[in-house]
Amino acid sequence: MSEEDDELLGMFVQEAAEHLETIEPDLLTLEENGDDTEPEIINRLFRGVHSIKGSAGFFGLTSITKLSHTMENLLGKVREKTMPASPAVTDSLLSGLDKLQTMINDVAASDSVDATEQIAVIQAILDGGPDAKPAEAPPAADTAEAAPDAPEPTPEPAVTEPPSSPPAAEAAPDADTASAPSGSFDLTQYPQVVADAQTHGRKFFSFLLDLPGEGAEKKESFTRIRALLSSVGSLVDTDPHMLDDQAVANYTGSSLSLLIATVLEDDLLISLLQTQESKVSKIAIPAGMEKAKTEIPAATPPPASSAPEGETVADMPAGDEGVRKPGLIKPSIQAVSSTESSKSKKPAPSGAKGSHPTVEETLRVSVSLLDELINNAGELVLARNQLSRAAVEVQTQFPHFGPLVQNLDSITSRIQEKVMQARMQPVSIVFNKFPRIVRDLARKLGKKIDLELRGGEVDLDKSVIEHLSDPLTHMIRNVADHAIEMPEERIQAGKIDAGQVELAAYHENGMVNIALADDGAGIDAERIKLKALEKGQITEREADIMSEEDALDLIFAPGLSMAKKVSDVSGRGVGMDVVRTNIEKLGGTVQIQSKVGKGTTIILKLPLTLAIIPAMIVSSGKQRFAIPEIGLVEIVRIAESDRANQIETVGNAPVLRLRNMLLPLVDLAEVLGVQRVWPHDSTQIDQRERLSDRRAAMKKAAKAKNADGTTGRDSTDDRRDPNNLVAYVMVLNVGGNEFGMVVDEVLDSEEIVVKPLPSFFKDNLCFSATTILGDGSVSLIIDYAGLMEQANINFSNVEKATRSDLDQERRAALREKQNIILLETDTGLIMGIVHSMVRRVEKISPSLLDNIGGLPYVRYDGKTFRAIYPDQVMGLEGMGLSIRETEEGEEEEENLCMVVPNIPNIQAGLIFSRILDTRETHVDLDCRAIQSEGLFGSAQIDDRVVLFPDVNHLLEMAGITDSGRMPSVDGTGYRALVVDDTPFIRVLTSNYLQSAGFEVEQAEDGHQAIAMLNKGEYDLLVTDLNMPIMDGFELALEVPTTAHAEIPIIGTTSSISSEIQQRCNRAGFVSCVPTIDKARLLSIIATLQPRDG
Amino acid sequence: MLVSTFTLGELYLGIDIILVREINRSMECTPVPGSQDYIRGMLNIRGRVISLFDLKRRLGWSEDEVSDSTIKQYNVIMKTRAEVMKINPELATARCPWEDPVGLAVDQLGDVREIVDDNILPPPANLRGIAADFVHGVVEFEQNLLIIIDVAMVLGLDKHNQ
Repeated sequence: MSEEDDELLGMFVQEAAEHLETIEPDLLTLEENGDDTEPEIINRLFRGVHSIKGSAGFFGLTSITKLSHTMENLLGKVREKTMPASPAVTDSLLSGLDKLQTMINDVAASDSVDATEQIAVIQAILDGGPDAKPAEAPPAADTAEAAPDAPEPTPEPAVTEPPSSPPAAEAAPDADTASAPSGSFDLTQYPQVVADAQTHGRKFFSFLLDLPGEGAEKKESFTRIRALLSSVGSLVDTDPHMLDDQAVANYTGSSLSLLIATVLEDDLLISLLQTQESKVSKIAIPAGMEKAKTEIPAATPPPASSAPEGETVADMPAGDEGVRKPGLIKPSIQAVSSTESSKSKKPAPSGAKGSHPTVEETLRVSVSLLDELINNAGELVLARNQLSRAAVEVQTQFPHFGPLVQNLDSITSRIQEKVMQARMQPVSIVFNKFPRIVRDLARKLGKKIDLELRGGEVDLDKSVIEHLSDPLTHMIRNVADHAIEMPEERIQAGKIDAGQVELAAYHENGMVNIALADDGAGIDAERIKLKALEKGQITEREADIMSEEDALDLIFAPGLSMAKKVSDVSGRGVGMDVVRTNIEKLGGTVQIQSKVGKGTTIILKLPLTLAIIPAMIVSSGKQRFAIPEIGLVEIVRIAESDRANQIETVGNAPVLRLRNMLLPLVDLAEVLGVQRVWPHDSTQIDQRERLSDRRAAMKKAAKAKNADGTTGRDSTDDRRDPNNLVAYVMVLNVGGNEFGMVVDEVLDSEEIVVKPLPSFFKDNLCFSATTILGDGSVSLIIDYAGLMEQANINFSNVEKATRSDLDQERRAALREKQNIILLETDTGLIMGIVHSMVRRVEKISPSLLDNIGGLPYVRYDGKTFRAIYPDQVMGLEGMGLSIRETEEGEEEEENLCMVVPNIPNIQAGLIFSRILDTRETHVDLDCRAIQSEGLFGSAQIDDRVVLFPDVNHLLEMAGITDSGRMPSVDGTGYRALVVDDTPFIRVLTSNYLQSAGFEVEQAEDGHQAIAMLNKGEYDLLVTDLNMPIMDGFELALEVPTTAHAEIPIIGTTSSISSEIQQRCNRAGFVSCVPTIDKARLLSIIATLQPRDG
Repeated sequence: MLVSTFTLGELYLGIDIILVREINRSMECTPVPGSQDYIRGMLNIRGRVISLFDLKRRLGWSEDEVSDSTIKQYNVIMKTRAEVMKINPELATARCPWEDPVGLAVDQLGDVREIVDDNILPPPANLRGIAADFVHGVVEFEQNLLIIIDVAMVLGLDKHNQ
């Protein structure tokens, strides 16, 4: 073979490999989705296989051609939907694909690879297929983007024969699709046309035109086709030669071969001509002609033989069957046969629009070269920066200098960015091969495994990626083989039959973690110990004292396989030790966690040498540091003036109060020993003391301010004013623990390139690596975990503090926030109803209001609701707030609003004119300012007076509650304790009990209740189930430890269910009733009376 | 061998030129909190992060002598072990244990001197301003004593425990 051929063959291999890469995932998709697979995917599959076939044919690679041809046929049928995409089909295709892979890996020996089995399988499916009609699908041709040009019919002497036997076919009749038609045109006859066509990106097709009927009819068909073609290309020639319409009319044959030059793809051409694909075939441009286009002056078409350059420079013709035959394309020196120029770089974009990873052209570049590029790009940035600074002065003299520098600036940035990207690769490169591996393994082992991939976009350094493949493959195999149980076992164990495996990549704490988690059988530490004992890897004594973790670690020991039997999947005792060695070579670590019966998670922590990570650039003291954004939860800005309110001291350590949580604080400058900017009195006193001192001082100041009636917050934000300095707390998460790192300033967010920490600083816990910032200066990357260790944060202290010290605050914060619906009455009064008391709010039309027996009712949803006007019932219409007259108002209203209270068995609604708002807010209920029967009290919300009605009482006042239903309870002489975090409910429940004669005391939560129970005398405990700090259930558990071990407990809840009822029973409640259901509550109490009495 | 020479206060010092990568004017560097006081910090030179040693501090000079220098200093950037390995594996193994790019801050630059290995003498006992540990050897030069420093020791890397 000539050198040129070798080169071409190399290209073919690379190209084929690229095709195979896309074919595999597509086949898997096809397998998964079956006939629902998007046509585009099937098309792509078809094109891929087709291209391989085409190229292989050109090189005379018979085995590859045959196999891919068979596969293509099958795919063709799938594409036409004449063959369902059954598992058998995809199976056969996948096995064919593997064979293809083998062949292409060693092209030279490909003909000696035996693929008869695969072909036979596919053929069998084809033969048995539902549709026997030949599956010749339109081939994937190469594209040409050139716009259609004006038609350019350059009639040339026609060539021989009618269709179906292409010229060179005789020379080498290695036909695999003899039935395929083909024009009998020799493109070498039309050098001028070919040259033109190439410049315009046209391709050649032969088209067998049926010409039935008489002369006039024939002429008409011909003219029509010619007209059609004129818009997309040209009719070059016919066979027999006749371009004159009249000649056609006189033509006696029933069909005519046309040579067409067009920019269209074959499938488009077919649809344009409204014909079948069997009638159209592509004619590739001979290699020699290819050359010709540059050599031949456009005006003087020399004979075709003037361009016989390469003897066998023919290329892959992505054309149709007839032309693609190997024999056809092998050109003789003189008669250049049909080939096509391009390498099908772009897999038919016309069909492949969007979606798929089109295979990009790649170039191998050594990593060291890339490194050098990266360094130099960095240097370029520096030089650019210096130039920009210098430019400021120069510009005054040379005004054009500025734009030049700017241009250089943007180019530099782009270069840097791209160069940085060059070394990084997404882990998906490795991940993407696993679906196939898992699928194959699952099949082989008779298991069901769902593999989920996450984080494929995480970029890792190329060198890391390269070394990741083997360890991960080992791990995946292990999971499939050992971890995932057989489907039956899984079902018995109460799991779904398919094993769930997740492979995820994510950044954590400056490392890239790759976690492989399964929900399989888990690893039994004891069994590992036994095995290791057996193998003499540990002694009995070691085994005895060995922790579970250490035992699990043993699976990484060489020669220890946990598979009960050796399979060809795994179990030979190599694997996990290799995994560990490989990962450790990369500077990473391997962790394993496992629960017998639950599953196993293996986490590879990989260093990000050169990984680019997003980071916040902060300053502390005068120095800048990079904080990886992974693990950064939020940033809190603290003004000096606000500091006292937010920073507390717990166990001598500063903590930040953040949304009812205490966050231990670490001052970066303090830990690093950098001179701080922030506490302006930066004396050498211990920072913690300072914090608390300052806090006390600030508290005084704040108090003074508050006394003045001003708020604690200063409106000015002048950082230069020492009294108004601002600090930032970076809230960081390390292994589930959160802490705050105090810095002076947050400067920027940057994608930084991580560079290893020089060995001279290796023992410094606080830094994980270095980076070079945009201005070229070196900066240190903070290692959270190390910083935490250095700062010696004790989380348990803070946790305790959070639980106890802050209870008070939390209570304050939690108890008073309520969801309130604000409603306006006809008379313009604003009323607030707590959300939990409302079952629903309906918009109703006034026309639904009826007057029945002097009382208003609403017909709604097939039911009749008693309508209640709260303002009327309470007699508050005359409060002077009314905007319009009640009666007129009713008529004016388009819609009214009915609030149905959350009280069972009552069909009544409160009528309002409209909903104003819903609010989650604190309510300072004032029970004195406005007093009225049926009113809890009032509160100010947004400077407006909002009335809070006692809905239950309102109903009673309106005479709705069936008082006969109300059990009579005489609680006189008894003391009840009502526990509820919501003031309304608490007051309400208390009211109910008081109305029954009880003496009532109230508690806000479980803790308080316990305290009260220990102090006072009570006969009944009514508690809300759902409370902060200590809920009703916890309270019930605590009650037996108090002086009132036997006190009857009734639970109240807004959402009652049988489950809750059961839980209450178990917890020792007498019963559980819906909140604000007075009747239920009293009836329960009634049952208690004999006991109490 | 060829020796690149420089001064540090009154001292006339030299380093085997094979070990020297380049010499720059002193520039701003990023201090590393918590590191040894004689490590001035890190520099970026063409994308390489270089740890810069303050030679005066390393030699244990007093704070006055260190901060006294009104002159703009120079940084002598050393080749790494890998770089030296390409040129002279023997030298790399024997005298170049540092893997990371590193530089030394010095006062003034001198000439490049050709010296004959045989002329290198062990350090005299009365050498001032530099401990014998840091000295590879001395050469007499025009009434000057050129002290060839042992970079590995200066960097705190005993070549034997690498």
